[in-house]
Amino acid sequence: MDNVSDTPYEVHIHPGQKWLKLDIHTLIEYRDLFFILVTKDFVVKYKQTILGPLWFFIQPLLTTVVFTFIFNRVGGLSTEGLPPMLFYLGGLTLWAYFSQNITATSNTFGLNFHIFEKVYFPRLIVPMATVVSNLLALSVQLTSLIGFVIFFKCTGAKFQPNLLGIFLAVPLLIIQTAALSLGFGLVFSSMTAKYRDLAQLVTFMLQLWMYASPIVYPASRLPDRYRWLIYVNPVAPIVESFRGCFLGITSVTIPEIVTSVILSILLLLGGMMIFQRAERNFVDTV
Amino acid sequence: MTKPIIEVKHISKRYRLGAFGTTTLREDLESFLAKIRRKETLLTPAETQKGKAIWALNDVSFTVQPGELIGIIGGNGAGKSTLLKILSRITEPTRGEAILRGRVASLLEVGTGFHPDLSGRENIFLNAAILGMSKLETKRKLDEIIAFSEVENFIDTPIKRYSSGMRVRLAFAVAAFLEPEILIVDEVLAVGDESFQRKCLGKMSDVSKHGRTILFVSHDLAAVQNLCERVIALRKGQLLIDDKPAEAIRTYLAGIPAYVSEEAETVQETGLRISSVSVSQGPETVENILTTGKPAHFRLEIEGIEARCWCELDIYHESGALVSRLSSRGVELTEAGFLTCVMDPLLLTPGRYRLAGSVLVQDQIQHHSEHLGGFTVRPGGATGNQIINWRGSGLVQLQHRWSAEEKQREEELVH
Repeated sequence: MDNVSDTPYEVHIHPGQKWLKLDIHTLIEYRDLFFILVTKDFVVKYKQTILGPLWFFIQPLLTTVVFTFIFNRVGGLSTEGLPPMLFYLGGLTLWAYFSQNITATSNTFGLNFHIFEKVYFPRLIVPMATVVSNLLALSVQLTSLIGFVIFFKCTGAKFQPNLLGIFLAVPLLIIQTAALSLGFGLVFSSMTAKYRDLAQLVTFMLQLWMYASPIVYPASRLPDRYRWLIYVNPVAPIVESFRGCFLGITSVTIPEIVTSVILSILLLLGGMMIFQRAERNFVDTV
Repeated sequence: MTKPIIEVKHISKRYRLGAFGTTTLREDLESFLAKIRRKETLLTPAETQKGKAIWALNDVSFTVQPGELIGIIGGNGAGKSTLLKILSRITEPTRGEAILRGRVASLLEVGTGFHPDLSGRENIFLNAAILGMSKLETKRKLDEIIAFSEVENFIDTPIKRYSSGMRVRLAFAVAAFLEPEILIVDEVLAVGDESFQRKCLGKMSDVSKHGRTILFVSHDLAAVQNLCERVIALRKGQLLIDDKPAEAIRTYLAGIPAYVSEEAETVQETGLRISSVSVSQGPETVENILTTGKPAHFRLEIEGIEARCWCELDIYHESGALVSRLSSRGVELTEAGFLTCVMDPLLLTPGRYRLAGSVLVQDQIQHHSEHLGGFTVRPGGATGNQIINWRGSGLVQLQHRWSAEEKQREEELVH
């Protein structure tokens, strides 16, 4: 306690630090804050509502019912012979996690300004904790999806879940979704830190993005000349493979999956760098 | 030889004035397009803003040894907050470098990140983690923290049901048990009741006795003088003085308010002059710090004194207003050369004041100085039946008495 000055800990503060410096060391140092923020998110979400986690379950279910009615019954879009309800739920489950992560993290600086201007800690902790705590909602939705898969299977619907895929690929797909959405969230939050009007754009963009992804339609129905859309949209192969694991039918190809994984990693790393760049002086610009 | 725990080397920070910081995407695009087209006619927002830069900190350097308790004082806009923000890594300097050899915890505010729906206990963990304490450390000190906060009975209640005082106590309790090597404290003590404030100040000097370094920023000059071993005063972004508390505070106060006319001093040939003024609450008290409602002593030292002369002492408020001119005309002077003016109680409201004064012989000014020093008035005392708490109650409290009368009597008076 008395020889505090002997600690090797040393911080240098100077302007214009390097672009590519990822400060992993400090992140590890603040791991306790990360876990506390995650639990805080859980507790707060649970305390504020009457139905608690039940909301996570109701929301995608209602959307699924609406989609089934509009796109399948009225619009007559194909679901590749699968039960429409399962088809939409299978697409929406992971998409909901993806889009919620982006919505929640894209305004990190604006929402946490009152904390950021008073205390230093690696800002990256905040969006990271959000992405992890959103897993709670995902797990509720995943449970309900599995429940419906079992229910439809028992009532004799014709589809073949890929059990190996569910146990091996689904966890990896969830991790990839987390990484990809965090990457996008970080890029957006760095942008909204400077241009606040972009925050409005994110919600709108996510809506369009959903229709550009094979959620209400199967990727196999895309005309060949639009197939490149699957390559440039890294969420598309994720959603398509995820649904393929549960329902057994997918048209996604290995090169598409590989491209998506590479893009996810690049986006995450790029997002972290841009974010760390933005965090250093944003207090002066808001 | 131990290395200094904090080294600040030529730190400068520039802020852009005007449309503060945020540019819209459109403006940036416009200026970008203008750059491409090399249009010189367009004055882009970025260019106009460049002209309006101010230096919030300008080439400030100092070093701090481990275990020192340093006070940082300065008026509004002197650069105190900017310095703290740089040292606590909230923002970067524009130029210069700072080296911190130890873990830093900064309290620019207490209770940062408190969530109203979480219980007191949960908030302790959250706040402690934000301030950089590990979960294990917090767990170990939890009982002490709760005891210090004096809210044991409500520790499992959501803090949205707390009074603001309880919240502050809880928040400060967390802060008080941080054990970083460097603690940066902003004026968080301005909140909470007086006994709790005293408890916090006590805790702070305790902490520094355990070898920790503290940077304490405050307007409360008395607290700074009592607590700190060294004081750094900033003015307009520059280091004004770095010295022992008494010296630093005197130098600092001498310069308030900033504006003093060019001809600050006029002296006639007689050699008669006021050489110094000392201001105190009474014998053996802190100089230059007074309290509303308590006595005040102004002691003038006069050189070349003669029987026919008298003095005038002007008290200026920091806003520049002349509050009062006090004349000693009619008081017989002695050879000793001291003249004391006592006010009991002091009716000035909290704030900062400057003294000016003249020596006159038969209405002829022999010596006049715009600058005989300054002093600060702290809140706390009472005048009449009213306790003067903070600024905003005017420059002075007039001596007065309130009384209530029956309505009937009023009517009788009318008829």
